[in-house]
Amino acid sequence: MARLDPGDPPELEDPSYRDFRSWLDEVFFDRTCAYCMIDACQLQIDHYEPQGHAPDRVDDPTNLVLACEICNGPGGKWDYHPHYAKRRSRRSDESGIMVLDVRVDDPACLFTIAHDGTIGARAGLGQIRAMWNIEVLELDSRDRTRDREKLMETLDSAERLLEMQRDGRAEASRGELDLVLGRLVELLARARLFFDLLDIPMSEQLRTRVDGARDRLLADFRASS
Amino acid sequence: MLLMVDSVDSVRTPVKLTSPSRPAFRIRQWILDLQSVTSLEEFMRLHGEERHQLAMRRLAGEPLTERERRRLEALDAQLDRLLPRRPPRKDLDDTLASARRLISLYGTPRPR
Repeated sequence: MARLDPGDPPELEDPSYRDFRSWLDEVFFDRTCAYCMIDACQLQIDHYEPQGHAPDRVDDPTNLVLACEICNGPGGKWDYHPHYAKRRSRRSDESGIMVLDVRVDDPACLFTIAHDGTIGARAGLGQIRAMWNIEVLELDSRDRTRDREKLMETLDSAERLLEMQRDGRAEASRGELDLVLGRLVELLARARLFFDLLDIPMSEQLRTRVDGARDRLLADFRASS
Repeated sequence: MLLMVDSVDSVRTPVKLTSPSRPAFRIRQWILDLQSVTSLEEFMRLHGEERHQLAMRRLAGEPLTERERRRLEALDAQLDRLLPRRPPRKDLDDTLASARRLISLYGTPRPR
């Protein structure tokens, strides 16, 4: 079951796909790419069924996701869809395998994330599909592995600082500890979708703090948009 | 003509090239071809299939020969150069550095 529920799209009169941008921004709050699940500053609207192949779905909001420029470019999904074979000259593009669709798929059932940011295919029915997605979307590129490693380190550091705070350690620098922990919680709140989509465990205490920070960020985001 | 081939294959000694059919000549040509690719699109068109096959085998845990492993490494390195760069996250780096420092200073519980 998918972990991202976009809800019903807004009802607009004669909309262009660009009119759904604000709705998508809210669904993918945190600027999280639908394919690599990592936050990016610049997200583009991607048509899951490519515009060139499915012209009748160009303005269909259920065909839209937000993706980073890497995933939406030639190094990623680009205009691939198995029903409209041959986006490239690769024979493998005719494999018939679908690219991850966060509205339908559960990424946690497909992928595993190691502490060093390495992504792997989870053993089971979806293993081949997961491997294929990792390769086609370049999810194992160095840049992305490093990004995931930093997110995992952020989580680990926050858990450890929280533990220190709970145990009354670091008394001499309590103020600094609170400040750094606050920053980490905010960073985790911004990347919350990554942890949710991949089902990466978080302690109850940290989750409560991250959820609070996320609610505040979301309220600010809504007020500004 | 003497040529030093120092990557991709294990040929490290100068070899005399007399014919394009010599392995070292082909390896050098392959490296030059790979390095001459300047766009991601071109890379995918020319080397995408080869990298896909090798990477899928690596992901499946299949053993690769030394030659295949080095070839995949060279392809990966070239791909990394061509993929768009993400802007560095200075706030994240700074915060993580502060957290690491605090953890190293106070992370171990003090003896009671």
